Amino acid sequence: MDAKAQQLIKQYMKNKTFLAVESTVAGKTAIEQMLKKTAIARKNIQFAKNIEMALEIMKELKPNYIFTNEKLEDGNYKELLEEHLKQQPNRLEAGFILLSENDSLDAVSKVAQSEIDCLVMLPFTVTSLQSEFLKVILPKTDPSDYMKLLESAREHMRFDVDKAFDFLKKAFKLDKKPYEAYYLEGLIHLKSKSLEQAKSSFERSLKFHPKFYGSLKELFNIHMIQKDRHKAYNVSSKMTEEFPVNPEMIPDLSWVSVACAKYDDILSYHTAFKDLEEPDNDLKNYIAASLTVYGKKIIKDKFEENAEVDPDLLKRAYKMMEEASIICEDKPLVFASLIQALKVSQNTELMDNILKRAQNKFPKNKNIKVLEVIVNDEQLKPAESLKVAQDALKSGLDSPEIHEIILKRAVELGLPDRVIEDSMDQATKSFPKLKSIFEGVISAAKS
Amino acid sequence: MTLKKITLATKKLSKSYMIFTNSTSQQDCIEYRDIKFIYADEMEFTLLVPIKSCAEGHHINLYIFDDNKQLKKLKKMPNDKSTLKCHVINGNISHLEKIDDELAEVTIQITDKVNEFWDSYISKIEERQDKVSEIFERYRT
Repeated sequence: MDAKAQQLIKQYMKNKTFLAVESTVAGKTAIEQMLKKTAIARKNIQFAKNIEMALEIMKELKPNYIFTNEKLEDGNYKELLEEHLKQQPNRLEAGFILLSENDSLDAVSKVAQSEIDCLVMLPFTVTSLQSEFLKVILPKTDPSDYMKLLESAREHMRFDVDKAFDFLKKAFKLDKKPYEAYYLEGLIHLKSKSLEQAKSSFERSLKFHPKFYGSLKELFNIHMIQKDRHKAYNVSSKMTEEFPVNPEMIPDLSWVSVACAKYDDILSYHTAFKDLEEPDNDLKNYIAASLTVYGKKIIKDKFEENAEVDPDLLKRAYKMMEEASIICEDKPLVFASLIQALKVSQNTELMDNILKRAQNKFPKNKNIKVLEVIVNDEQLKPAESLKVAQDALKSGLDSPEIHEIILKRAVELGLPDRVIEDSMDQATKSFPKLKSIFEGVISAAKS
Repeated sequence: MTLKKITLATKKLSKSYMIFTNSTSQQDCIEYRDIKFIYADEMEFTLLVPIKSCAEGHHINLYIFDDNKQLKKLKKMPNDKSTLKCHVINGNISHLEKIDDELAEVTIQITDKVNEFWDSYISKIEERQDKVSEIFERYRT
């Protein structure tokens, strides 16, 4: 580091205060030694073992910088972060450094999308701790005018929107590619629910930096709210090309791919999933849900919309739906969704296989018991199916699907009107909002 | 059909797993889930360990594994340590600090190591940090 940088650091650190929330001696010692090497006086460094102590110190001293371990005995570091952002809204004079052993892509990508300045991995060495800290503070020791305006805008965003806009107006003129300034402008518009203006700001941000994650993500969300699936898809393509896909986003990304008939995307998620050694349960559930969305759409196109569907595509849809039932870890509703979709296709063999898997996984689950009745309805004669459904209802399995089966079969079997009326009364008593659906089932069965 | 290349953000950690033998008390600690590395340096390192597993002044043999496959199946410390697919580092506990009723923090002065392994282990720690920082930066800039 050259002499000028060292001088700037010394000047910047003068009168800055630090809090380390760390229960281990090694952690405390390493942080203290590192800060002293960076020209910080010992009296400006405080230590806390836990959140309670840390909040007390923060209340009294309002430290500029906080180092904290991710795992704290009495809670989550996010409480400290929120408090710190309120106490020190100008992040050029402050920073928050998280120490964690979790280097998974999921964790790192989420922390990167937060207000945390940097993530220091455990175990650390003296070198790794210091180099990460310097990366945080060096840009702050001599910020450009553009950066100062951005931080001032960020500082005022919460409580003085007009002032924040003023700072941003000046910032736009100071940088050739003011993508962050447009991003912040978009966030302010989002806060006041001006979606069109927010959209325009994020689009402008991306014109200057097409791969800026913050703007990509917000723009994708807006397109989803506005149900503009093609635009949402274009944005999501850029996101998934450049950044790891967080599992929580898979349902929305899958929906938009399927809505735009980009079925191969779902297969891409599945292929990536198959390459993993030990995927966690959440990921399994999300991938299963994405395969379900895929299968449902193709079946709907073929059997409800009567569209032209390539036989290979239909075959693949069935295969992926079976795969979904194998992968799904603990979401009975995925199985319910698969079976409801397959009912339309009358692929009874696949329905049976999926039901068996559901029964094995969730032997006592009410939704799965309802599925049994639904599958039986496809396979049994009307009178048998009616009896099964009635028995299920008597046993306490009160679901719209069971009432629909009872009504449909009662009409098909030509049972007296009084019987059908009683069944209708029972159905609407349990599910009054579905009265029109039940009436629809009766008239469809009569025609 | 050429599929898009997708990277899923999984919860998989890249970390080392450790067990040790306390050659002073003749005790083994195979609870690898309770042993965590905090800090590493050329001549010493710091771990979190189960509190009753060692004391100041004790000598330990630390076995470092790249993954937990062998450890998941381990019911007890084998007599023949060559069956363990790991690296070994030995040291004396120079300091012990109680963290809570279950964990203690121990600092170990290294007495015996394979220099090549330990140097590369420290480099790996720093490379891991660099990789995390690179991913972090991608979202910010």
